[in-house]
Amino acid sequence: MSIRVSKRNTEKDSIFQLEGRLDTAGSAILKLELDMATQNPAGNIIIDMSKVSFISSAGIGITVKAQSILKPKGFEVRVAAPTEEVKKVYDLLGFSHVVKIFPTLNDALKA
Amino acid sequence: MQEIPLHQIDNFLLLLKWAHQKGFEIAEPHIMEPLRLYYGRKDDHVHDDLYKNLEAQKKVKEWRIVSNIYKHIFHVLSFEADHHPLFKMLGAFLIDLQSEPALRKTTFTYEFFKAYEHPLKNLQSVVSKEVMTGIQEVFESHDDVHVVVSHNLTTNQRELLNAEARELYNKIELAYARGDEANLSYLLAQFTGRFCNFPEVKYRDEVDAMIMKIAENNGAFKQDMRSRLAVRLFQSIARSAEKMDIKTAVRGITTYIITFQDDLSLPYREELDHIEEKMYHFIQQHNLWHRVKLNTSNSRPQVVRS
Repeated sequence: MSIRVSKRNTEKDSIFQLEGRLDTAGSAILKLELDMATQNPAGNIIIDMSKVSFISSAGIGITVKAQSILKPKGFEVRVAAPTEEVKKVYDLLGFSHVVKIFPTLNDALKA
Repeated sequence: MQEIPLHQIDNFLLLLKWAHQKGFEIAEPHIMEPLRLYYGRKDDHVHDDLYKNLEAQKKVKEWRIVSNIYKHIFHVLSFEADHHPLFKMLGAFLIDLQSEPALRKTTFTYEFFKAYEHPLKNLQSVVSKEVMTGIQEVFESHDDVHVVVSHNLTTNQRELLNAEARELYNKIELAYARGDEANLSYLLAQFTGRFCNFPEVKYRDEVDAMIMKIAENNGAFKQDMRSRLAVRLFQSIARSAEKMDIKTAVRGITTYIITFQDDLSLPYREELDHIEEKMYHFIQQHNLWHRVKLNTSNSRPQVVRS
């Protein structure tokens, strides 16, 4: 399995902690979780990417899609603590303007 | 009879062209042998004027008969030593399939795609491996970073692209006016794939608006169009990567994300992962992140719900 996803909830937000590769195979696993979480959201979705070693267009695509569903409902997707390379890929492809990126999980929770 | 989806026909055409370029060694096991297995034995009958009859039946749009004539032609050609005539006729058949819904529903067409189901999967994996190995070699052997970041169109190039866009857009309008959905999805995918890396080209907004309008009320069209477009965009990205034109590849990937977002069922997704991984590694090695980045001040991705 290319990625491990663990989920926990705070009072209002859902936090997904990822470990592994967010390629097509890994994204398929995260997508199942995000599809459920975006149906009736009670708060923001925070994706902790501190242990993601690689992200492809597939991984970025599912976060972008989740964002487009959450935004009209008054919430947002936040990417927390990405590795340097993951952050650079978001920047390179122009999506760090679409999905907000925070340097730490705490920053993402407090924002 | 179940209609063969257009994106399957497109993909067959791509693989056929690739196999043809590679020559007999690839053509024989992947294209000729499956047909021989389908027919069982050589056709010893003499068929006069098959080709003339084929053209005549196409003119009167007798697609069931056209399908049967193709069946006879393939039977004869698949047992010949030279693979070129068979490839030529297979190409003609697939092109006819792209434009004729009635031909896509015949018994022979269904059997033909059944016969090729596994051989094409095998051929697909051969192609994928070769593309990925080729791209890996390119990234591992290349040091000339000046080449890879240049992406400026000259006035002349821009004019030529705009003329090409106009010609294609005229065809799209014509297909739209005629209600020719098969051709329309083909042309729209062709336009988007061809010009996805050139935001400055004219008619892009008109084409995007037309896609949205048609897809809104026609789910099947939307799915077919998306699959066709995914293949074209992938090809465009892979070609840019092979040429070390990283900035163009980056633009292609951005377009891919905007267009397909969380659709993970599209063809060539895993191959795209592989290209991206090699490319990002190369960018990191040569510290090119800022040089190949999209100019987001005037081309920020606009994401809408699909």
